[in-house]
Amino acid sequence: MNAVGGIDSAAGSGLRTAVEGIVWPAILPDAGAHLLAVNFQLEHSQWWPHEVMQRHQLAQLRLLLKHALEAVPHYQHPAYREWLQRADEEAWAAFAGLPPLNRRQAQEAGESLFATKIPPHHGAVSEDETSGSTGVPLRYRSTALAGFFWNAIALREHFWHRRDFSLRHAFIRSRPEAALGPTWGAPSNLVFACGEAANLQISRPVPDKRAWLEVLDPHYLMTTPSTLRALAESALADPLPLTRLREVRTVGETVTEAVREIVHRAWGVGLVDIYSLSECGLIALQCPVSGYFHVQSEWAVVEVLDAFGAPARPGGIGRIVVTPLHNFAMPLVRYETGDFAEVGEACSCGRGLATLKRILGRHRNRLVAPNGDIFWPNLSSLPWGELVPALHRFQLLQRKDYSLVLRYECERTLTREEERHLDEALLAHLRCTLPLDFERVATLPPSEAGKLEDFITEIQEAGE
Amino acid sequence: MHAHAEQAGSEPMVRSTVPGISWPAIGSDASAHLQSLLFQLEHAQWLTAEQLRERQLAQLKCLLRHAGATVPRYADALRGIDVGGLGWESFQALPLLTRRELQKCFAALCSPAVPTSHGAVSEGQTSGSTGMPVRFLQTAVTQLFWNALTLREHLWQERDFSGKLAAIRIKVEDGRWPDWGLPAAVLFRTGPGATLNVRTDVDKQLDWLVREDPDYLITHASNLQALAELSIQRGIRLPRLRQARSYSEALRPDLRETVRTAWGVEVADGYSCEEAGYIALQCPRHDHYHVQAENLLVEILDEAGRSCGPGETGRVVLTTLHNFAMPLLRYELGDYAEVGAPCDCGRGLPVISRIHGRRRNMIVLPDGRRHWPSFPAEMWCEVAPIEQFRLVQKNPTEIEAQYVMVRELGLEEKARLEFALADRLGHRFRIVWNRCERLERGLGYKLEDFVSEL
Repeated sequence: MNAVGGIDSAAGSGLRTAVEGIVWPAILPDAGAHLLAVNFQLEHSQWWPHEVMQRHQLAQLRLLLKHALEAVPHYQHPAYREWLQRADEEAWAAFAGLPPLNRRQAQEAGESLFATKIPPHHGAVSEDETSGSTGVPLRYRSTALAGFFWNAIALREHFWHRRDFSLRHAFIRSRPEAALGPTWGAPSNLVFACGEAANLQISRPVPDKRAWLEVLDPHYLMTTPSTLRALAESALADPLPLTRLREVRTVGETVTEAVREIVHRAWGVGLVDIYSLSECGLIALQCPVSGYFHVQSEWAVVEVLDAFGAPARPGGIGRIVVTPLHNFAMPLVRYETGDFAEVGEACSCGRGLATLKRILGRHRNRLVAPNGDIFWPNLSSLPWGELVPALHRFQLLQRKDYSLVLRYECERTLTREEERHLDEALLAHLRCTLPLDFERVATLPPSEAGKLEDFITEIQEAGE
Repeated sequence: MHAHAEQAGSEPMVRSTVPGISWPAIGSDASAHLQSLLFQLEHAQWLTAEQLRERQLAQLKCLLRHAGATVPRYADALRGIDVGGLGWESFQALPLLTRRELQKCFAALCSPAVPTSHGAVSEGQTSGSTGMPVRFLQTAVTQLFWNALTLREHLWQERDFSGKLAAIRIKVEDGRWPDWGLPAAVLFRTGPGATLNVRTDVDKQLDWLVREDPDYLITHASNLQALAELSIQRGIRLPRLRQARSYSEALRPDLRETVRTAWGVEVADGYSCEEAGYIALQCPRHDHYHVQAENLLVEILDEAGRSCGPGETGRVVLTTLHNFAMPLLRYELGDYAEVGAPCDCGRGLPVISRIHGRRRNMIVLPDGRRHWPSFPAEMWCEVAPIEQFRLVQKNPTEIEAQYVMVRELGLEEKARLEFALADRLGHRFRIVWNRCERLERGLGYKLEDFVSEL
């Protein structure tokens, strides 16, 4: 517990103070104090056994549902009213019987999911839409209070990984570019008055990113897994010495073991991933001990359901269904995220928070064989550099007729020989015999969120 | 040892002030500041001793800059000292502040320029069991730290906030309350509270405890001892009691065993003083104490002024880290304590294995009733410039009042004090006045303001 970092960043002097001359322990400005206050509670609740956690979730869930019944047109259904009348002992079983809300239903529900009134002190309501890597974006609303919880959990993630806020952080995100500034930005800067950070647009080409990183020489780097993979591959081909780098952080896309490996080979550091959805907040954070993902049970009820709608057991894969507990502007009850995860065992770290062993990505990242078999292609584990050194970037697409097409960026069209090599390697990896075409493109278009998924399917499933 | 291993058992419920949000709770600003400090304290306690000293030094430098610039008493002492480059040796070369100096130099120790962000400044007086009452200043900031450490103590001891808390102490009104009062009720949803003034006869206190049937009892150590002994004598149990919390005095060696015999519960003890706040709290796993290093700097010095090592006993010298209204630098409290070895609980907070502080006798009234005597400083200071005093009960009807003052008390002054004493003691004892040159310490190292020869 005594490694420097986290709340003790800058040897205990990194905290923002609202009182002249008091640096340790610090008396923070109100906004920072409230964030630490929630973290004080989270620090305790993370160790609670499952039953205790459920008891607290249930109390909050009742408040959310009560509000939904009073103020949200979509929930004017007897099922929700009946659920509220259930005794505690039967409430969870009954909750599992409430209708799930998939993405398409949420889109169709539109404004009927928006609350017509919101209790006092939940703050301003903001409206936005999901970045929509594929399909129609979902318009969603959230309160300032929900944003506050997002920030509190973002801080928890920093604390779990004992980051030193006095060090330098590089971000390569889809946000506006920002030169080196004196803090890491919100929420860190509400609590800490130290550190430096800069942001580079994710759409910049790899050479720009390399040059920028080399000058910045950060201790931490956050970006998407695909950007990271491109950078790591580039660094392995032509060294990009980031000697101060302690950790890379990812968000926004599915992380595979191959990405973790290549990052380790390139810079000798670990990768810490965050699972979040803009309409649902931070859903799961990587455990600092086991590397599993801990569900953020203080913020949301997270279910992982198998094909029959039953809770998946450890080792089983299922759909992630989320009920955020504090967003009163647009309650989402049993919202099907469209993502899949493998359920983990109890974590060796001792935290009672449920675990997800892997986040497998969305339905659109699943390959479907004509016989109905489903799996998630882990394409980044293939030795692309050896197979086709000339290839810059690629995306494998499954068409509605199950056939595959590899779209790629390259300075020239691949030779027949190269295509044959790839065909063999890919189909062996996918363990199927689907027809595979090749298509050279000038630029693979990332989604609005700057994501590039290496595998997507056009085979639709209800709700996608 | 990780924090969670000790905390998983209890689930304190934070009060929420936002409609619709019960958990995690969004409390008031006051609650947020307490939790924010508790979050920091929770981490700081596991820092190594060296890391703690490094952080103390950073805070100490802020205090010294302020003291050197604004506090007359320290302007000279700190003149020419490079505070930025200050090390522990230079700090330990600063002169000690004795209790007598604090008493005499009140004005010179006050800062006339407390930054406004430190909140309201208020004046307090020790309630005086040392016979040498002192006045002091405190700020909203020092009060916040006091409250945060009160809560740390509850959390360390894993108290169940839904239980009932009974307090028998000075400065309280008798009554029943819907919650535990400040600061616990600012932060947590608590069970009810009940209070009784410690001047109540011990027999009546015990009857009251039986009626209240609390989960926790907090009171002065000697009062606790008297209650436990009486409980054994009368064969009374307190069936719901889970723990007794003692404070303000050194524990008699047999107190813990007596309380165990009486009620089958353990004692948790705390060491504090009104002018500096919490000094040390009992370790959650042991009977010894952890210095509250985030609140103050504690030196334990031998007669030659050298720091004592584990197993050695010396004078307790305090430096408050956050009091910008009246910084106390190297303040010799008047207590003695034994330094302990580092604790196996894993906390880096220094260890005090024994406190040789004040220990009180109960006063006995002619009809046999007994209670814990209390003589607030104001009682003396309002009447005459008394520097030191001690009351010695010679027999059930007579008390010798020894005092140190530049002159003899006048007849009217004596009459006023006798009237006040009769009120405090619950009986009009015959008072024999005795002006002394100085008052000697007793065997317990400490100057007592009340001694019973019965």
